[in-house]
Amino acid sequence: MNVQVINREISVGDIRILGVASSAVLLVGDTQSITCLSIFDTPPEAVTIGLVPLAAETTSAV
Amino acid sequence: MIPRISTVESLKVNSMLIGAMLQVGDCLLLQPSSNVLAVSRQLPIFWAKEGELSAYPLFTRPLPKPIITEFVQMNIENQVPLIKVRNIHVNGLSTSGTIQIGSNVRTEATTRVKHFRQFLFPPKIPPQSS
Repeated sequence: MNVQVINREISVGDIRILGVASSAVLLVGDTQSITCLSIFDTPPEAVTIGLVPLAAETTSAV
Repeated sequence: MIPRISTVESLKVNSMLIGAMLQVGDCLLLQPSSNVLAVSRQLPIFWAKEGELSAYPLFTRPLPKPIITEFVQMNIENQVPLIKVRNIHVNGLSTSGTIQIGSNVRTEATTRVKHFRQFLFPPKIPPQSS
């Protein structure tokens, strides 16, 4: 597939963004490829009644 | 092809955290990554040695990358070698969030978040109105 792109004048006034998070990208410029991957996990079993410690660190030196 | 130059008159970012990146200038590759264990507790108690990420397969499982099956030949002609922006205001930049003023070749951003909620008592479920 062949794509012909002609970039003429681009002039933007104001950009106002509340948040750029979880692998989001704001780019003022050119690029060839962008890959944004984000996985979020909050299963029902992640809800517990009672405060329990999460998996203890085993590799910490102290 | 003439490379394009990005101009931004003013840029304001209020806060940056957890692997966020603000790049001014050109580069080849941007590769931010962040791993997060998010814990919401009804009482703010935190033990010192908790949170071993390798205990959760979410942080080691392979990420589903898009497979490119088509070869695209792109021919770009930059008639005006400028990308102009007057003003950018971003409140927060977090968990591999990236801002770049300038050009790059490739961006690969990854984020893994595991969220826990811990209550003291079972939450009250409001009666359903139907």
